[in-house]
Amino acid sequence: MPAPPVSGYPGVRYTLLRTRKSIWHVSCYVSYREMEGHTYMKLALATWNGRISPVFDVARQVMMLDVEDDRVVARHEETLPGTEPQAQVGRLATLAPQTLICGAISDPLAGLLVAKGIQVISFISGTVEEVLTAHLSGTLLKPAFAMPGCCGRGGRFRGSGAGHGRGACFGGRRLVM
Amino acid sequence: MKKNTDRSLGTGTNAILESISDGVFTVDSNWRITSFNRAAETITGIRRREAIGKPCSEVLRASMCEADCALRHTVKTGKPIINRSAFIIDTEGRRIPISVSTAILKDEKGRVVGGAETFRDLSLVEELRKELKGRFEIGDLVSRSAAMRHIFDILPQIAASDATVLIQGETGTGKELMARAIHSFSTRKTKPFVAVNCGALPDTLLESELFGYVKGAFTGAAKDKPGRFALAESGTLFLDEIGDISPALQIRLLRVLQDKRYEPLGGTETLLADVRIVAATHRDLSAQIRKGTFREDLFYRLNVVKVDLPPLRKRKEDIPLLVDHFIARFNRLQGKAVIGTSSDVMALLMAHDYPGNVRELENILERAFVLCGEGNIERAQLPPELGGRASFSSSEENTIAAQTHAAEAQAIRMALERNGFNRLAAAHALGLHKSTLFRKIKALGIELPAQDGRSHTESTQSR
Repeated sequence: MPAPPVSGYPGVRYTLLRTRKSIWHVSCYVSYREMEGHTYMKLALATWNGRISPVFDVARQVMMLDVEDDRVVARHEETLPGTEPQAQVGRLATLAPQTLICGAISDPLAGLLVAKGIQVISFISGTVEEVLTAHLSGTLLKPAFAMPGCCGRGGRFRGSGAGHGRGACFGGRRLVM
Repeated sequence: MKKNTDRSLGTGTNAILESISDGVFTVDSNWRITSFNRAAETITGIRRREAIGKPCSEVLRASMCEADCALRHTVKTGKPIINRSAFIIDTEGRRIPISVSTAILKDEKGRVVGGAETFRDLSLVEELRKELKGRFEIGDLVSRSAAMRHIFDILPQIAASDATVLIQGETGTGKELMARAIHSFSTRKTKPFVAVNCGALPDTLLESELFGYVKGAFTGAAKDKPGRFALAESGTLFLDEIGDISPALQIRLLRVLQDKRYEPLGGTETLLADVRIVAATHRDLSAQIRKGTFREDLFYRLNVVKVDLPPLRKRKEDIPLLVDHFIARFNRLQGKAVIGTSSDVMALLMAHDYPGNVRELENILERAFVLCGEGNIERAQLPPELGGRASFSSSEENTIAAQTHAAEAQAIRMALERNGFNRLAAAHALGLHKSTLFRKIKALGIELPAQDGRSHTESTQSR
């Protein structure tokens, strides 16, 4: 059964959980800052040695950032299991970021994250600070941050077309949502 | 940088590296790629000019890069690593299984200048392995026959639904294993799987066993006892030999299947049964319906999804696979080192009809394990009804004459069995004259039962 439609006001976020066959649990979160017109985002960066972790499937560290109006207001490190895809997805889902920025990621895993409502910007390389700055200034999709072979700079070597699967290629890497 | 690398490696080495099918790359002391061969381009999907100068972890993107880098280990300890398994993620987001070997890279003066890594694409090997392993085994069921494979293909869908399943098959075909497989693939797998053999219990006992009773329901009912329906709550209830239950119990069962409700014996309260039913029978229920011994409405309630397990004689191609499976299992359980079967044992096993199906084959092998500790299972270790007699000495066993004799004896024995030990009928079936058959029986030392089969055949014909 699809989730019943819930309309809301700016700054009020609803979560629907199906507890029994026809009973829906509705939880709501009110952000007064958002109601005042501020934008708020929870961002996750898979990291390793100060850079974006090369393979998210086995990544063990993630930096969680609270971003308000394109400005980082809080950040902290969290750990990931780095074993099974399901465990990785489960852990990240509990951290509940809206967007994940990571290196290489296998397609099924990216699909699982998208199914959990997490936007995935994958095949990104670079230092954490460079990538974060680029993301906040809207320049992350430049070829300079693309992993080798992932579009950009002469295009993708294997496969044809700009996009693949659910993702779309924006000059540098894939954006899956 | 690339030109320097090519020059340093020399044209001869370069040509070799370009022609091999293993991916090869080298890194400098900062873990940046200094050379990248053609096979590495093909496997990773990354062009050489994009790879050179980049951190190797961002080019190879292997599962071991972060936690357990083989190259880092080699450079640190000086010890090479051979064929370590991992996977890489290519530009298309696919996981590619690889095996990795590493070595230290030194210059002409013997100074360590970095590391070299070779990697091999194992996709094909992995695919074949899955083809061999995965598709022929579900739970404890092993098969490569088309009929069983069809069942394997639909089993996950059957398991995912909550529908009642009816499994039909001869005794020993693995009905309970199939029921367990359905349970273990279903969403109820963490809940109990309760099996009841309906044929093993008298009717009244079966009723109290299934539905339970309350205190004082009958003499001796000192306290409440939950039934199997209650024990299997939220799980799966397997009703074996469902064709053997009485008409009265059939009605009670029908009500549970229809309304999902039942009352324990002597109880007044109606209980809700959140149980998935998997029923099995070796009988032909349609024939029983025609005879009036099985209720049609119950049959249709049970027969939501039907699984027909073919008998082993109709899927003889599974025998070698099952033999390997059982040998591996008995080796594990009994701590023995049996390798397999000798070729004539396999021939005998293939020729048998298996009225007891897979269970019979399992028992034959278990018996052989009692007598055989290691090496191959030999003919003498098979039960006598299968032709397990050591009639030839081991020195003679491999000669053509011995093999011919063994095959002849086997053919004659089977023809006799098929024809109820009627020698004339067996001779006709084999295309021999009866006196030739008599001569061969004597020469090969085939034992015959006291009765000669003539009267049996006549009585059959007169009917």
